[in-house]
Amino acid sequence: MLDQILTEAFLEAVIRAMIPILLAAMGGLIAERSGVFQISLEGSILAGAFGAVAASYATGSSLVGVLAGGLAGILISLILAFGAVSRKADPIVLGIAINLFALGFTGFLLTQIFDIRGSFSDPAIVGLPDWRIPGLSSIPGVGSAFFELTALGYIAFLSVPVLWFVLFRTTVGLRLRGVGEHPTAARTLGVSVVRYRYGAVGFSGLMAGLGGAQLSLSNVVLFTDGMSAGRGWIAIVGVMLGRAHPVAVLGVVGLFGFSEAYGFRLQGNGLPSQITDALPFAVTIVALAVSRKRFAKLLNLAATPPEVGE
Amino acid sequence: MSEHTISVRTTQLEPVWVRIVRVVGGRVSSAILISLLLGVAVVAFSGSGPIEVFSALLTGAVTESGPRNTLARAVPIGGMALAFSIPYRAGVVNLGGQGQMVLGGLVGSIVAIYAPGPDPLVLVVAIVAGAATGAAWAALAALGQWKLMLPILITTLLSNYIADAISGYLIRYHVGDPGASAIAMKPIPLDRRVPTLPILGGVTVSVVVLVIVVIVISIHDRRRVAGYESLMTGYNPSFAWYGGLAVDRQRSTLLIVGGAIGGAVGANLIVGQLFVNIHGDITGTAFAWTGLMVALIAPRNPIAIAIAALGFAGLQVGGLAMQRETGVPGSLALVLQGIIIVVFMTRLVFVRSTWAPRRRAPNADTTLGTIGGGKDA
Repeated sequence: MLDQILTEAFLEAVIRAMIPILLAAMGGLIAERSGVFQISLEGSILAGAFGAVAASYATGSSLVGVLAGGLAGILISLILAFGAVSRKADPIVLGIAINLFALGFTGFLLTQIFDIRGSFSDPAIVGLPDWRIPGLSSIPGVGSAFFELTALGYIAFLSVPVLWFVLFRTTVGLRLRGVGEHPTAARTLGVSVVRYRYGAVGFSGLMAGLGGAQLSLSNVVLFTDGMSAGRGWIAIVGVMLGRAHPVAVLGVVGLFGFSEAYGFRLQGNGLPSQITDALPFAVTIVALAVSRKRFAKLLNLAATPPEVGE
Repeated sequence: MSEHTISVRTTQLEPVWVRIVRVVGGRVSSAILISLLLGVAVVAFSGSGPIEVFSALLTGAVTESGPRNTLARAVPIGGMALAFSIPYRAGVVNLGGQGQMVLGGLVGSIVAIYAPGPDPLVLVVAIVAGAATGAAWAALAALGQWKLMLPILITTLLSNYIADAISGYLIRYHVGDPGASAIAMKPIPLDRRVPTLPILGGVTVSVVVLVIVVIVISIHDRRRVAGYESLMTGYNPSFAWYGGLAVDRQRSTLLIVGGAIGGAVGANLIVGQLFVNIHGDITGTAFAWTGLMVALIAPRNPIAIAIAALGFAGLQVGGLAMQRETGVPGSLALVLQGIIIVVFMTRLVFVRSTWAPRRRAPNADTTLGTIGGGKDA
């Protein structure tokens, strides 16, 4: 069993599974820090995946595809921002409605524009190229897993230290956390709570949309109805479990990536896919239970939980 | 908090009929009107004639078999709305409706296909078994919250995927029909399906059962202690706790009741409507999520939930008819549903009265830190 995990191919599979979730989770943690419960990540991922495929197909450019994916993610998230921030609606309700809207809308557009039901793949869709970093990518064991990624893959992993720095070492980050932890205090200091929250939710939509683009232009080059398949929810759990701390969230997402890749591996060993598909979700619940019991204090030291809600 | 006090006062001062006129005339009609406008824009943008499309949608819902299909669809939607709203009123967010339905449908169809005994009895037992399965599944989430402090919002949500996996595995390898082309069970025997009534050309008995359940719940809410207590916990868990209410136990019970309804709806969907349990079909209907959205329109009013369920069911039936007539995909119905809820929740109204109260949602468990009410306060 161990010799199957300790291979370069397996590490590559883990990283590949992590990237879309990591992008969405890094966005989600910024929204969480600003005090908005970002529950529409799933919708943003799906919209991003669709936007990326549609734009890449139309223009023949994967860059335009990625930009369109990010834009689609932002547009979806702005519905949440408008409802939850400006109109003080319940973010859970709104998020679920938005996710269903995204599911229906992408399915609708798929049929209306491409006249196809369910799944759309075409040679004209240009996928994202992998960028090899010369030198680093030939490090034995880890080189091809870490240094032969798409641009979005590098963005995903670089966003961890960048967001850590922004959150904990810059004025913007301090204000963002202030807006989330004590909006009234932030307001009295002249910080615009609404503007920060819009920005944070928009950013989370952008990242989730990019995650969707990675999903539909790199992991596979096609769009399928509902292809986000719960990744947005997993990203949300990652944010909660990692207490919205970039490094902790990276760790949790790594666990998800591992269980997804391991599930695939087990499938190759003859275990039914119906069982292995559930693995990441089961692992999440177990991780939640273990961390709540054993590491609750440790997590509290790592980051103070941001206030959620109004 | 001050917002809340104001809302209670206005509600008391205001006669019921004024309130109904205001809500229906304001938020409801605005939501429908705005989503209609957006829907027209979407259809026109995608290159079809909006008038043709929407008249096909409307006629599909009200003519020929439309009303019967609408009623049939309103059962799972309304049922799932109740499964969500009962725990939600006490502040418990049950996102596991889909998994409860899937497992209820699985066990219900196993019973209906394989159990010996007189057919009507087996049918009843099948639905009860479905309810028990849904309840047990929800009880796991309640237990997780109670013993391990796992947030119900998360565990119920994730358990949907696990329920789907369990059901898929069992149907594929153990209880399925090896002769079927898909991952499916045998069809439910003809005599063990939910009987129909001679109204509108055959409405299932389930409709009647659901109507009775709605009436029972609304009486229970207004006239019984437990109904009052669940609303009290929803508005203010600390107050309920200080008042001597075992909030944890109450919330667990309500979640389990919700799970039971979800399981029964799943079983009923198979033995009353689909007649064969194909893996993925229950998930594909998205009834659990539609029901959830319906519930959110009026979480504390079962009768309003029933009416909204009827409306959304009509929208979906009309959407399917529209797809047949015009070729415009039926997923337009999903799009319209989403828009209606977003517009409704964000209170975009054309006519705004200055004294319109803003009601707060009940305190939902959205944080990791909230553990069943005031226990940690």
